[in-house]
Amino acid sequence: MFNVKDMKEIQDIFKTSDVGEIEIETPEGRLRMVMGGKPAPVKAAPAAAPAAPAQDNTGGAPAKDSPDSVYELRSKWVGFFTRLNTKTGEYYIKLRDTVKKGDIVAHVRVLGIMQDVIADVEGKVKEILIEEGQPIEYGQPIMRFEK
Amino acid sequence: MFRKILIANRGEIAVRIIRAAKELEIPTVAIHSEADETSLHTKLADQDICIGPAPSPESYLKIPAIISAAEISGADAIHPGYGFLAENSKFARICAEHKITFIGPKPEVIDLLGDKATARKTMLEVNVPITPGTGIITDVEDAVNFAKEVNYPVIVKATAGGGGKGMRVAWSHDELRKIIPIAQGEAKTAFGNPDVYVEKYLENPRHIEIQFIADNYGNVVHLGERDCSIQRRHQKLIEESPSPVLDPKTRAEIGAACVKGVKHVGYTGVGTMEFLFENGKFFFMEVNTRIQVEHCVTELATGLDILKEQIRVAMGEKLSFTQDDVVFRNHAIECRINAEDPHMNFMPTPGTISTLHFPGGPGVRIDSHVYAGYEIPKFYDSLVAKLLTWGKNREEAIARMKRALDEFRIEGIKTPIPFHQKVMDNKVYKSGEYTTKFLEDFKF
Repeated sequence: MFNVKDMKEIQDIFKTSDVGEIEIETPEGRLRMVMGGKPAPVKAAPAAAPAAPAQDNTGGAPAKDSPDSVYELRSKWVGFFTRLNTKTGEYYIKLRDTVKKGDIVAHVRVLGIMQDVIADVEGKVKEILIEEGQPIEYGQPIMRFEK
Repeated sequence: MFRKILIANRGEIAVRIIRAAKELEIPTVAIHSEADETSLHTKLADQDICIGPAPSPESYLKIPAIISAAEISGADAIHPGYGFLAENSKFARICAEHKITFIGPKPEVIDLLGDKATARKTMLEVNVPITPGTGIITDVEDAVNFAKEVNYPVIVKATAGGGGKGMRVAWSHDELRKIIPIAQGEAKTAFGNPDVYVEKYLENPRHIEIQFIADNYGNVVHLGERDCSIQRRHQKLIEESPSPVLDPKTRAEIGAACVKGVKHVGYTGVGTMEFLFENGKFFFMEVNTRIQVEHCVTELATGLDILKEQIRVAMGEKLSFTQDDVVFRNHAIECRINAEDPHMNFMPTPGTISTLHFPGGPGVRIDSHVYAGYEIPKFYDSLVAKLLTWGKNREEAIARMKRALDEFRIEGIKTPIPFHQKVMDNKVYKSGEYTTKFLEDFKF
């Protein structure tokens, strides 16, 4: 698991770059560190991500920094995010899982009802941008996939 | 005290509500569509949540998204503003089911007053003067018999309509017999309810409305009238308070009648009772069960903050003033500044505001959500700003409005500022002797 030297190295990354949040997953476990200790606010994605076009009904958009290879899945609902499959109690997906188009990858709980978050593309889970239980708004990026 | 107010609206009224909440030290959450990402109200609120794409049915009218936004933000009150869901009793009921205070009257009262034919009947019960009219028409010949009694012209109105929509005038029996089925069809399409009724049509009335506010303890106060006769296709363009044609005795009488009607239906919150006024007589039209665009005119005329009082009353407080406390201290005028071209039949002209300079100085108030560089979305109404002036009398209010219109600079869109300037110079307007037919004769 992480030792003090690792933690110090991670802190240096915060100090010397624009990074605000780091999530690291290893076979031993997962570590998430947030700059300043504040949880992500309920706001739209950072400026680097493009606004979803008004006519986009799929709730997804290619990420700005990699036009074709990375796909960003966005929320179609306002509610609370969960990656848990309510029937099995397990996460639907983890980082580096491969998903097919049409797979349920998460839910947004809207007024007590679980709405399905469905993968629009086939790809590998590159990043999960929302924490378990976090409030989420319409259009907020949820995950990025490598196509 | 509310923990947090969610504003289920946009534009200038969302800004107005946030300002009132701030002064009451109540946190706010703004909801917005994707088209309103850069809108001012999202910047002024303590929190903002995107709830859907641009089209209103998928955002500002999407009840589950709005209630969900209240849930995730912890809002325990929702202010619906005007338009959108402001007079939607289903929305008010759903708020109540989720233990959220809907800042407005109870759903049953919204339903009662929202059905125009029922509202008329109810007001008649307490002798609020109403326009002679029928109940819901089930047999066209009943309408014809009524027209025989009151003489033509008569007007066919949709019971679920309002705000000038779903109305047709008939001048003869033949025309009336033709119009009724057409109006029923239009009403079904526009409002989901084909029921129509018929009223005597007043040919040259003024539109005078009474602002009122009621708390949850049976206290009701009226805040005087607004004369909103300067209208184009039933859309108000210029409003003023007091009306140039009402004397204090008449004001007191109609105010008292309004208060009686409001108490009779168990109304709580703010609202406006609209009348037509012709030959010295008032004729009840409808009650608007919401805060209105032109509420600021009354705020300037009386010195009272209607929005803050509306929020206080919704929190269960008693009205902070009595009828005797309401003094009409100023004359106030409002000119609505829309993104419309007055030279092209007031065609909407959305676009980006390149230059913006609001007028200022004594007696000038601007309620607006726009700023230089703001792109007006084409999905919603075209109101850009409300320009208001007040003075110790009507002449001073008009002089200040002329000055303010001259100072106002807005480029990138067209606005009716040249139109308003012309009206302020117009002999008939300055005399105060105008009616709802003013714009038909007005050369612009």
